[in-house]
Amino acid sequence: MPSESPLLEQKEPLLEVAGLSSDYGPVRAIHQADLQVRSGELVAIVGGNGAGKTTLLHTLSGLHPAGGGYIRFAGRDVTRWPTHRIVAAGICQVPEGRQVFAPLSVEDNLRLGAYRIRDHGWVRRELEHVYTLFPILAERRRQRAGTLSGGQQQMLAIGRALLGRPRLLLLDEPSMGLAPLLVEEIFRVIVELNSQSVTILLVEQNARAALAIAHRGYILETGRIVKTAPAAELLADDAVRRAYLGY
Amino acid sequence: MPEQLLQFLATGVTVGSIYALVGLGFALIYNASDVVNFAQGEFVMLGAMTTVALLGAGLPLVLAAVVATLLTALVGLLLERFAIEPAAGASVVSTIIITIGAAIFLRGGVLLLWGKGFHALPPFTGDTPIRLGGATLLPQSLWVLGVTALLVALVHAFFNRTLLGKALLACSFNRNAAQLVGINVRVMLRLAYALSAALGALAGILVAPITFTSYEAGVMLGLKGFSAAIVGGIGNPMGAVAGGLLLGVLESLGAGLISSGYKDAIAFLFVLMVLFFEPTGLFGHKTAERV
Repeated sequence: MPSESPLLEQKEPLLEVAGLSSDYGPVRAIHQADLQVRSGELVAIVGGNGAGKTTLLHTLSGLHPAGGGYIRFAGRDVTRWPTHRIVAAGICQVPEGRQVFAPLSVEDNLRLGAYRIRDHGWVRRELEHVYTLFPILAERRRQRAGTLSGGQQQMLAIGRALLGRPRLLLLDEPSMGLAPLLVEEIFRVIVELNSQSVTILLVEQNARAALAIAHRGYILETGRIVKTAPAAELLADDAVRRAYLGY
Repeated sequence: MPEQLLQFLATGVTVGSIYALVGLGFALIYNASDVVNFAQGEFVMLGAMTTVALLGAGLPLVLAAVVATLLTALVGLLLERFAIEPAAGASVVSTIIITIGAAIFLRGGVLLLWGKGFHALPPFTGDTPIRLGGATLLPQSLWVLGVTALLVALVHAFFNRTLLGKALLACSFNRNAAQLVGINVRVMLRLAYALSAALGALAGILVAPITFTSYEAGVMLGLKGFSAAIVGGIGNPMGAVAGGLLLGVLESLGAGLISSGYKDAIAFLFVLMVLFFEPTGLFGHKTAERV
C-alpha cells in the first residue's frame, strides 16, 4: 500500500525538471513541464494516449532534444547530454514496448544492460539479483529474447535496465499489452524494487494501477502537467476519477 | 577431367575467400547500421594500391601491408565521421547513396594520386606452384586461404564472444534501445567502418599478387562481395563467408566448363536465382518474433 513519500526533507530532488518543452517539428509535444523526483520515491505520470508521456521520457533520456527548460539530475544539468552519458549518470529507461534485442539471448540482453559498467563483480551479483526477481529469465537465459512472451520480454527489459545500475529508473507503460495477471506481477516487482531503494518514475496509461502503488502522481494532458498531488489524493479526486479511472 | 575439376575448385575457393572477406566487410557495417556500404570495394582497392605505393617507397612488404591496412581503416573511420555521421537521421537509402558517392570519390582520389596503371604485388612467399593431386596451387592461394580462415574466426569470435561485438549488433537490432543501455552509437559506427575497411584492405592485399590491381579494381570485387553477402543472407557474417566461397567456386566452374567470358554473368545469375527463390539469402534470419 502507498506510504508517505519518503525523505520529503531532502534539500535537492534527485531529478528536477523545470519549464521543459519538447517539439516534433513544428508541433509542441511537451509544454513547460515541471517535475521533481526525490531519492527513494516512486512517482507516477498518468495520462491518456498521445498525452506526451513517451516524448517526455525520451526527452529525459536524451533520445529526443529538449526545446526549452532544463533537466537537472543529481545536481548536474543533463539537458543537452547525449543518451549514453545520461545512462552513465544513472538514468536508465525501460522503453515502451520493451524493445529487447530480439535475436540475442536473454543473458546477452542483460549483459548489454551493464554495457558501461566495469565492476564485473557487481554485474555478476546484479545478474543473480535479476534472476531471483524473475526466475523465468534464469530458466530461459540461453533462449533468444524474441521468443519470449510479452510479459517475459517486459521482465527482461526491466532486468536489462537494472543492470545499468540505475539511480533513477524510468518505466514507460510497463503494463502495455499484458494480461491483468501479468500486470499485477510486474507492478508487484516495481513496488519490491522501490522498497529495495530504487527510485522510480513510472509513466502509465493504466492510471489506477500506477497511482495505487505510487507515492505521488502527475497528470499529463496534451503535453501539459495539469495536476500533481500525493497519489492517494489523485485516486480520490472526483475529476481525476471521471477522466482517468472510469468510475 | 577430375584433375581439372579439382583445379577449378582450388581456384574457386581462393577467389571465393576474397569474396568472403569483402562480404564480411559488408556484413559488419550492415550489422551496425542496416546500411549497405558501396564503398566496400574501394577499401579493397585502397589496401592493395597503398601497399603498392609503400612498397615502391622502399618499405618491406609486411610493413607496407600493415601500414596500408591501418591507413585504409583510418579512411573508413573518416568516411563515417565526415560523410555518414553528418547525415545521421537520414534514411537508409540516402546513406547508401552517400556511400556510392564516397566510392566514386575514393576512385577519383586514387586515380589522381597514382594514375591509371595496373599494379601487382609480389607473392608473399615465392611462386613455385604446389602440386596437389592433379591440381596446382600457388603458394599465394594458401596465404589467401589461411589468412581468410583466421580473419573469419576472429570476426566470428568478435560477434559471438565479446560484449563489444554484441553491442555493435544491438545498434542495428534497435538503435534507441542500444542508446538506452549506454552504447555510444556513433562510436560503434566508426568502429564498424574502420574494421570493415581493414578487412577490405587485407582482402585487397592478399589478392593483389594473383590479380592485378588498379584504381578501378574495387568495383567488381565490391559487387562480388556484395553478392556474397546477399547470397548468404545480409547481416549474417558466416553466411557472407559461405556465400563468397559458393560464388567463387561456381564462377570458376562456369569459367572452366562453359566459357571464361561468362564468368561474371554466371556469378550474378546465381545471385538473381538465390534472391528469386530465397529472398532472405541462403542463410538469412527467418524472422519469427513475438511482439
